[in-house]
Amino acid sequence: MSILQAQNVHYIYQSKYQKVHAVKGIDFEFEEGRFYAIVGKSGCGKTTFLSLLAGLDLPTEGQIVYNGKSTAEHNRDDYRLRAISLICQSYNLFPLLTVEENVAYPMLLRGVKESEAKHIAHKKLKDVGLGDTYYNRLPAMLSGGEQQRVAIARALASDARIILADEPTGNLDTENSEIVFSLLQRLAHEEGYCIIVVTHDTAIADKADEVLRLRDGALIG
Amino acid sequence: MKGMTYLWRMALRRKAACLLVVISTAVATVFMLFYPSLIENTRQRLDETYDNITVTGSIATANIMPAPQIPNAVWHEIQESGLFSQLYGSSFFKLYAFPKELLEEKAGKDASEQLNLLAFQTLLADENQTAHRVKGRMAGYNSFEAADELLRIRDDITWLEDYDENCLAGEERICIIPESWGYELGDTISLLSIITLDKSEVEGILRVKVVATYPGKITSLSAAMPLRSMEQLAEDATAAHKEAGNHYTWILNLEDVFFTVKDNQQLDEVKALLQKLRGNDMLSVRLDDKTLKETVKPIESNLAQLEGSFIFFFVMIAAIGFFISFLLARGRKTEYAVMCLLGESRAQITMKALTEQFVLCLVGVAIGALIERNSFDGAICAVILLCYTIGAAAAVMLNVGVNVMDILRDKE
Repeated sequence: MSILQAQNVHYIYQSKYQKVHAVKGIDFEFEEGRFYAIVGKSGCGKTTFLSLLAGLDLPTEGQIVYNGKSTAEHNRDDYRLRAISLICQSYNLFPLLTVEENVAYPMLLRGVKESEAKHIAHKKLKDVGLGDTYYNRLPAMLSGGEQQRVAIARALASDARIILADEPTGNLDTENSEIVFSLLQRLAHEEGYCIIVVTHDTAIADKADEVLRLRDGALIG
Repeated sequence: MKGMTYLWRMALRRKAACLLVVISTAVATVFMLFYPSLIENTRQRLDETYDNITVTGSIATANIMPAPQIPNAVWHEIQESGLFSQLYGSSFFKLYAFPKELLEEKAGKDASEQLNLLAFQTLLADENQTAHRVKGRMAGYNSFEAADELLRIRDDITWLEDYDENCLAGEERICIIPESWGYELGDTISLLSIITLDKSEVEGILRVKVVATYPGKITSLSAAMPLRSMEQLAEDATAAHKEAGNHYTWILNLEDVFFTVKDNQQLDEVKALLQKLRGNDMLSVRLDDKTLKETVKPIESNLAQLEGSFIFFFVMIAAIGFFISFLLARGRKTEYAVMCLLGESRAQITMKALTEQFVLCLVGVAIGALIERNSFDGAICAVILLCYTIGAAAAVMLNVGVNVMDILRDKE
């Protein structure tokens, strides 16, 4: 059953010198428990499409539908808070919050008490393979792979069922990439998350349940 | 605000930035609170200088003239101007009198006023008596301090009961004369007054009561009477002349006017008043304000510089505050982008950042106000607080207004 649908999604933006048709009529349905890879050359509209799925902007034409409602009808801040989680290549952790505080942060935004949020954060950190020795470290004290795992733990802690990831292994070595990929795969297949990953990494794309190939903003396969 | 606790943790872990905001607001507050007190102290010093220096001046008949030349109207004008704390005026007329002994010889002891007057006129007409005439000068003063001559004989004067130095301020027809004229205190003395009007002289007989005598003889002063009384005599004489059908007018002019400026800060008005008199060639006008000018000029210049700089410093400090806040907030754009990504609205992020900045600035301003508590000024504190907070607001609004993905990609 689809959890997120892209219906004839177009996105046009005005750059400094020209009008760019970044996304051209993408129609696709994303389902829970599956791992999707969006691949394509640089500038083909992958990240733009991902940001539309994340509700950071609205399609110029068409719609992104979540739970039967277009993202235009949702409160998009609330949509990002509760429906999706986004993981980026550069992890985007708060550098001055500890690991557990970083993971607990989205829960606090949802009104969870700090003690409870921390308790959940510990559980999610354990889920991604980070034990209690990591809780009070600052992100700068972790390796890239560990930081990305913290970002995944934070995504899990947000309770959203859709995890969007933009080049999540882009900054990682092969070993760490493998760990992160396996983790995302496990989340999709064992815990039923809908994982959508934008990547250049063909290894990841090959292991995805479904691959969306983009060229010049259009879905080609 | 949800998540504010963590935002605070982040802010407080950014110690250098926090300290920069707190210290800069505190320093700005101390300086801007201290600065007006510096201006106020200088202003006070200027006021004190104005108050403590006495500016005096005089208006005098310009040349050696046979008669006083300062128009009485001028005297009235400067009296009514209210610009002077001490105002001394003097006038005079020439007089002839006869020793009491000679007059009694002619009129008899305890003779009536009429007989006395008759005897006086007879003596005046008798050329043989010319040698016995007392020639002198009747000076009119409005205050005992108006004449150095009076001050010199102050301790030697014998006063009639109920009279003292203050009598010169009144308008009673009384006089102070030398003992050598032979009159007792309380006697009435007949005098021939001679007034010079233009090139002619006008004479008139008058009688005044002796209320004080002094021993010896003093150069230039023979007798003295209240200036106001002398003025009235002039008015009465003029009226009598008019009644008698002649056209002489006894104009009471003044020989000297000495003054002390009441409020030195009204010196411009005093100068304007004196300027009018300077047009009269007969008068010599003098204002001793050199000391005041030399003393207040550097203070006034200092004050002008301080007042001018205040606005400059205020604008500069406000601008520095604005830019410090702006730059600090701008440096956190990735943080704001992540907040946005995690589902916080732009309004929430702006409010959080502003609250954080406002509280830090408030701490700084409070510290500054505490240090400079004696010069506390709520308006100045509010402006500093506002400038720092607006700087942060501007930066936050600019940064949370751009595409979040662009910010996060820039980082990569």
